Amino acid sequence: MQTEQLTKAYGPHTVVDQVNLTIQRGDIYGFLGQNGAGKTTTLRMIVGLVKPTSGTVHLFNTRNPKQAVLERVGTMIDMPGFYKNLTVSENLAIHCELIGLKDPTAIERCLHQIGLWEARNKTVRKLSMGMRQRLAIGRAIIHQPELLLLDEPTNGLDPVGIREIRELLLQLSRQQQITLLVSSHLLSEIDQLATRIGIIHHGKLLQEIDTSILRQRMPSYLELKIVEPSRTLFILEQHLGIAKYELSDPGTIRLYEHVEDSAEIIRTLVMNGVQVIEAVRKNASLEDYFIDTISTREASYYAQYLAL
Amino acid sequence: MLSILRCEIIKLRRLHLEWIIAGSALFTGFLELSAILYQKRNHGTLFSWDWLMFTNFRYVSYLIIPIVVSLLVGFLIAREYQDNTANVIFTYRYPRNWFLIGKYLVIIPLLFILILLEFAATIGAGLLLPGHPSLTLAMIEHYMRIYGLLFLMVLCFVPAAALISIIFKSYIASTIYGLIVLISGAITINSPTIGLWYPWAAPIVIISSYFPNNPNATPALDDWKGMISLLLLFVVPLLINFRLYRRIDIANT
Repeated sequence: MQTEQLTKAYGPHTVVDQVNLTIQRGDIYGFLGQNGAGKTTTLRMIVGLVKPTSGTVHLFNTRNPKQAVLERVGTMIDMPGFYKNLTVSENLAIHCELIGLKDPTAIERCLHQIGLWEARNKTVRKLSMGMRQRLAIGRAIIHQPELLLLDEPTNGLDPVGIREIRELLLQLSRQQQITLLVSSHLLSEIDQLATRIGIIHHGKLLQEIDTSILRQRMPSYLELKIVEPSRTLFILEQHLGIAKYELSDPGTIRLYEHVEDSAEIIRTLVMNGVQVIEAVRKNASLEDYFIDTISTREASYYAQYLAL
Repeated sequence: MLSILRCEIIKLRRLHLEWIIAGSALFTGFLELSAILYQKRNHGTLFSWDWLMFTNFRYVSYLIIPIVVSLLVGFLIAREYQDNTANVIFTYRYPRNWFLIGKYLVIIPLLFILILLEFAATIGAGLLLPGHPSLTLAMIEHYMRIYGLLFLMVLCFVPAAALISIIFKSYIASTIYGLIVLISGAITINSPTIGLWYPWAAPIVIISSYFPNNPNATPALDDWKGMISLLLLFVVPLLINFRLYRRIDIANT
């Protein structure tokens, strides 16, 4: 799947600005962005719910795909909608009828897969948020699509539900080779799932990168938990010549220099009377990378604005 | 199209729309009974069939139809937006307008049942009253023709209610529209010359002339004015609906 210069403007307000997404077969693509960044609008344009102001979508080598191509896609966009007066099975039956799925075992198979077989005769009105979310994923996968577009699939789920959904998605990717595009603002979720990520901010796609490359680029750091931060910083600067550090929480310092010399750093601090409670060598997380990426963007945006 | 129609019928399950329809018939039945008792107390006569059917016809036309049509149409169309199911149905292989046609096709029998029930309830109520005047087959046939005509004219109200639902994506907006139609209908009901050009009142004015003793009957020659206004009420919103339904963005609702 590919988008070329995909743009959506409502009057003077551009919500998606020349977005070029590229997703290869087999990818688990994490589409990251803050609330209101343009993730959902981009997905809506891909499946034809919103008409782009300009730009194109390519799906399975088809430019601006029509409905027939979209049948190879499973979607769950925004808050999943159901006919609340109908049962779980009836909702899936409507979906199967309209998508042209004739397999009589499909509903049963799907309900077992998403763990809703016992609730098949319950009306959707009586389902919990987590069950509805699972039903939405079930509806998206029942016809065994080649590409699955999921917008915030873990919204409103408890930690157990989030884990179940994550495992289900990984299973779909591994066993059925389904390509996944998962949009989310929950970075830890994407971190555990994605093989490739795209970061969207204020409607612009800032970066697309493979997570394997990303992990290599993420700096490692030494995180110290200490009692006297000011004294520690003085020793780090004066005795060890470390200038690249960050004081995050009170009593927590992250060192981005000389990380490989952690034993020497700790020894020097202790020798100078600093109480080191904990010292851990870590790699920067996706969250750090994401915040760094959008902060850089914000800074350059304001620099441009001020220059004007 | 058959698949869409099948699904539209499944979607009606457990909605209890039958209560709205039956409730409407009961409500007019209650009004009818009150009118008969009033007639008896003040004029000493029970009722004539013409009078009974005309009274019921007026209640149905300007009281029940605007509210029930806007409520049913609004609910069936706007719920797809309000419940976020539009996010799903518009990704299927069918052109969007087929779904709209499917909804229109489901609304037709619902309105037919409503009119039929109103008709049957009125005849039934009249027959139940002791000392009722005799009712011939020719009279029944005449009244059936009138209610049949009313049913056809009521269908012209559907696209306008649908248009409100599509624009505002809410059946509350559609119901408010129904209330406005009700009030404006009540204002114009006794002014046939204005009513003929006012499409929501046109069925009342046109069909009134089919009741022999109706003092507000308009000459049959003028019926074409009402027909034109009704036709416009049907065609213009219908065309706008098809265009909007096809093109409208399904953003957050």
